Order: sequence, then C-alpha cells, then structure tokens
Amino acid sequence: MSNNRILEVKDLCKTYIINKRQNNVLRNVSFSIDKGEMVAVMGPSGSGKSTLLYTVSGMDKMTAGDVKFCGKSLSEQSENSLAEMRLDDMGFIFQQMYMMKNLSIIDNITLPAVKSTRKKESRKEILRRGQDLMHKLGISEICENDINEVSGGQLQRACICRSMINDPQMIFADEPTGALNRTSSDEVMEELTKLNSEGTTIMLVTHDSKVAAKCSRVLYIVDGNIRGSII
Amino acid sequence: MKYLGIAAIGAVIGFFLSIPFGNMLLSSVSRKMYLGSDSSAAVGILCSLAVVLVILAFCWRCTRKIKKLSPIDAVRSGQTGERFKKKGLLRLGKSKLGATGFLALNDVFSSPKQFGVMTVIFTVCLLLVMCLANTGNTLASRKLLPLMCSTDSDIYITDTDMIMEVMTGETTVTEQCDKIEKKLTDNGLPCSVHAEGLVSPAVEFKGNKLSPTFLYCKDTKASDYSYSEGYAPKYSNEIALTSSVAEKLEAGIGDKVNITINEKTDEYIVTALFQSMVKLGETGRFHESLKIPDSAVSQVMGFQIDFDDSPDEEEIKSRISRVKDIFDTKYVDDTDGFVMSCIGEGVKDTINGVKVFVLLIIVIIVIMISVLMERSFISKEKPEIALMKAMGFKSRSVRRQHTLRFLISAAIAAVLAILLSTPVTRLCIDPIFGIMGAIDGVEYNIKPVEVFAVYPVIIAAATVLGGHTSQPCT
Repeated sequence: MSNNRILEVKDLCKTYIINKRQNNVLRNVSFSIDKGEMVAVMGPSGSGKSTLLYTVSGMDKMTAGDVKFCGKSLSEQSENSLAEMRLDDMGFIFQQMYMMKNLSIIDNITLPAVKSTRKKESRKEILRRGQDLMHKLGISEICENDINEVSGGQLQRACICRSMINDPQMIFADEPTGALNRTSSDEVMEELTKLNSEGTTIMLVTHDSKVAAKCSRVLYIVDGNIRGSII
Repeated sequence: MKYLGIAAIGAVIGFFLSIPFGNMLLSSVSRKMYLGSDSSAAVGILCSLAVVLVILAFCWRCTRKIKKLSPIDAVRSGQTGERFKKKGLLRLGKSKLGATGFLALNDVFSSPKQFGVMTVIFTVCLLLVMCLANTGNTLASRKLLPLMCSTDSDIYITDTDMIMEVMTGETTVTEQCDKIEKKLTDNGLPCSVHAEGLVSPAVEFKGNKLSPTFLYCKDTKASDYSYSEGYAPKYSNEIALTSSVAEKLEAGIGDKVNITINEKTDEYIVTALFQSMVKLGETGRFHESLKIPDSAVSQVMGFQIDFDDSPDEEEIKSRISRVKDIFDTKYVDDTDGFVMSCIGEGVKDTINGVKVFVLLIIVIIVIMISVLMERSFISKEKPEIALMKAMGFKSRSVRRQHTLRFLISAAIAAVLAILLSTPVTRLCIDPIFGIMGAIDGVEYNIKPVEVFAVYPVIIAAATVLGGHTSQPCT
C-alpha cells in the first residue's frame, strides 16, 4: 500500500440475514482512495451505497474481506480502538443532520474535541477552533443557537464543522445534501469542495449527479458491486 | 382501558397482601391489649378503589395531550421550530467537566420535568424511610426520658415482682429502695436507689374533677425535671400539671386546685406545665417536700440506681449483668432500655421491622422506576446514542452518561431528603407522639450516619443498578 493511500478495500462482502434469508448487500468490493481525493459513490436505490460507506468506515461490521484505513486493518481492531479511530481520524456527515438536542450549535461542534484526548487543549482553545470553523463555513451567527433555531443548510454546515473539529484524516458523508433544497445543497457542496481543496479526503454517497460531478472520482455501484469508476 | 386493567390487578394483589401484613403489624401490640373487631376489610376495599381511581384520574389527565398532537408532528417529530427560551442551560466551553459528565448534567437540567418527577419520587421514598428510622431511633433513646418523668440514672430495675411487692402493700417504696441499696452495697456496688412513685389523687377545680396520676419522689428535686411553662414547684403546696390535665381542669399557672390524698383535701398552686407520656399524658408532679404516706403510692415506674463511683458506659454495661445475677432478674436496663420498657418492647421492634420492610419495597420501586425510565430514555434517544457512537464515544462512555444522570437525580433527591427529613418527621410523627402525651413534640434522636448516609447510598445504589442493568442495547 502506498504512503498516499488512506483507504484500501479488498474483496469486501457484507451479508444481512432477514427472515432467515441471506441478503448479500456487498459482493467482493475492491477499491482504494488516496489522500486528498474526493470520491463519490453512486448507484440506484438499494445498491448498497450507504452499506459500503458504513462498512469501510468501521461503523458496521464486514462479513468478509479486508479494509485498511491509514494502514490499519479494521477487522483487527477492537470496538474501543474503532471508536477512537472514529473520534480522532474520521469525520461523519449524515443525511439527517443528527445533533445532540440539549446542546447549542457550538457545543455540538466542539463535543468531539472535548472527548478526544489526542490534543492537550484547553476548553478555550477548543472553543476558538470551533468558532474559527464556523466562521470559515459562514455560520458564525448561529453559534449559541439551539439546533431547532437554524435552517437545514446551516445545520448541515454545522455538521461539517463537527466532522472537521478533530482534523480527521478522512470524512465520510452519507447523502449530505439529501435533505436540503437546491440552494442549501449548493452551499454545502461548495464547502465540501473547499475543504477537499485544502487537503481533506472525502468519501461521499449520493444519488445526485450534480453532487457527484464536483468529485474527483465517482464509483458506480450496482447490486453490491463496483461496476465502474469515472475520473 | 390498559391502565384500568393494570391498576385493578395491582389493587387486588395489594389488598390481599395487606391482610397478612396488617395482622403481622398488629400481632406485636395485640399481645398486651384486647382489640375489637372492625371493618378493616371494607376500609381495605375502599382504599383499593381509591388507588384505582387516582391512577385513572392521572391517566385521563395525561391522555389529554393526545388531542394536541397533529399529523404534522409525526413528520417533524414534535418540533415546530418555535421556542421561547433556551433549552440547554450549561455551556460545554465554560464547563470544567469531562464530556460524559457534562452531557449527563446538561441532560438533567435540560429536561427538568422528566428528571424532576424521578427526583421527587426518590425524595419521597427516602423521606418515608427516614421518618420511620427517626421514629424508631427516638423510641429507643434516652431523649424520651424527660417524657417518662424520670431523672437520668445509671441503671433501672423494672422487675415486675419487685414492683408488685410495692403495689400490693407487701412493702413500701422506701423499704424496697433500701433493700436494693443494701444488697448492692453488700455485693461491692455502693449506690443510692430511688423510685418515682405514682399517686392517684382526686383533683378538682371550679367543678371540674379528674383523677390524674401524680409523680412523687422524695429523693429527687422537682427542679431536676423539665417544664414547658412556668417554674418548678418550690414548696410542698406547689404542683406541676401536664397541659392536657390543665386543659381538662380548665386551670392554668397560678390557679389553686383542690387535691384529695387519703381523704385529706388541700389546696395546691399550679406553678408549671410539662409534657409526659406516662399514662398518656394525664399526670402531675408533687414537690419532693410534700409528705405523702407510702400507702398512697400505688405504683412505681422502676427502681433507679446511681452508683457512688459514677461509672462510664462500658462499666455500666458490665454492672447490668452483675445486677441481673444479684437479683436473679432479666429486667435490668440502662437509660435507653428503660425508655424502651416504658414505651413497650414490641413497639420499637415493630417500627424497625416496618422500616426494613418499607426500605425493601422502596428499593424495589426505585429499581423498577429506574429500569422503566432508562428503557424509555434509550428508546427516545436512539438517534443520539447512535450519533455519539458514530462520533467516537465508546459504549462504556454512553452507559456512564446514562448512569450518571440517574446518580445526579438520586444525589439531588438525597440532598432534598436530608434537608427535609427533620421537618417532615416532625410534621408526620409529632401528632402520634402527641396522642401518647407529648403534645409539644419530642426531641428526635437522629442517627446521622444511618439517616444521612446509609439510606441515601442505598437509594442511589438501587437507582444506578436499575439504570445500569437496563442498558444492554447501548
């Protein structure tokens, strides 16, 4: 594996048992992602896009195959070390913009940094970093707002800030614009593209071709298999 | 309908369980008294019906919220975007707590209704146990001694045979005290012995007649006892009365009442009022200088022994065994034991038994509430739990956060219960002591370690156990 490679997937398989019937969602999927790439995964509904994203990020267990993230095989990691990897090395953006309902926007953004023990930072320093990220994504004005007091686009940008707070190696985004209108979608994709241009590796799942068009590479998945790759 | 069924089943089970439980409680006191039959079954049925009705009333009140829900709430999960005040009270940036501790504390303060209900329930449960503990501890403590109208002595002999010798006239109080004193001195325990004599004269004031029990002891001073009003009798024609006797006679401090002892009537001035649990508070006290013939003394409380060498508590305990051997009787006690024998041996044991039983029930209730609440939280907060795990929180951090929330509620409940335990005990138990004669209340014997540490820790542990064991899916 080259030093530039951040994610390497080999013969990945994922099977669900539903009503005693085996459902092979992913079948021998193999691909790799280099540092600084922005890769989109596209495919029809039920093709296994989200399952692929969650399996390669360690959120879901694989049935067979091997996934190496930053040189570490995910199947050899314990639950606790996977949790540490998600906290310090990965960022996640979900379609539904999940946030902790009892925390303000800034607290939601800085929570992973407070939890992380990698950097020895004071609360003030963490707060300042969070505010800097919010300023960078153009949402400084909603710092102290509750999560129900902001628009969908602002909330998704806050989620991007949260995913970035610990300077992750890679961001995994599942339909980041799926719940947004066209204007908000464009704003969010603009921010993601900016982050990628600054060196952040991004893997995102989308069914929107306009979103995929902004990525450096598109993996097309059908029936659990990568059918093509467009650069 | 669902809750009607649940309440009805619970009421039926509770009713049938109450029968043996009630019999068990009564058995300890009914040994010494005749109890008439009553309609306890009817009362039990009525109470069960009342419980069902109260539960239904609450259910009906809660289901009124269903009217307010609209289809759009399903889409927005109850969120309309409108809010008039901030939800979160704490700020992560300003807090010194770790992420888990902060989230737990913030959740408790952000959902005051939810956790407040739990806190109130835990507080009430704790208060119930604390009240019973304070009552049980007080009933067996020397703090009630003033209410027994006795002075503090090293040892008390309450042997029935020795008391009966005085009651039947076989011997006088003075002779019996002298006999005991001599026997103890001959056995190497020099001491002085006295006894509170009980006299039952006829008292009359402005046409009101009564026969209270007067206490009299020529070996102590009237000023050795406590009075709630006025001053201790100083002369032989001065007396003190309990408030209930004074009320019945319609007499007050300064009034002159007529008292007939052995067919001789004299006037006595009421100089003080006091509290007493002897004879349910219908007592008075004569001055020690009054010459009362031994034949007028109908009973003694017990024989009080004061050793010449003023031994410490350890020594007193060993001397109790010696005195028991000397007089071949088991009825020899220290002050605490004497108070217990006056109240009734079974009463304290019954209260302690009830306390343990209530504590057990409360622990079960607390565990069940914690289990139910935690399951409800997990069900409601699944997206948040999933988000925390996605962010990189380990399972044990999530469990710790949930457990901490319960611990915080239990801690707040413990603080509230500790602050309220004394006033609530007074509120609930003073009337019971009032019936026994202590109408101005009593000084409660509060054991701080038991009441302020042990019970709160038990409840907190039950809370944590209930919350923790229902978290497998986190």
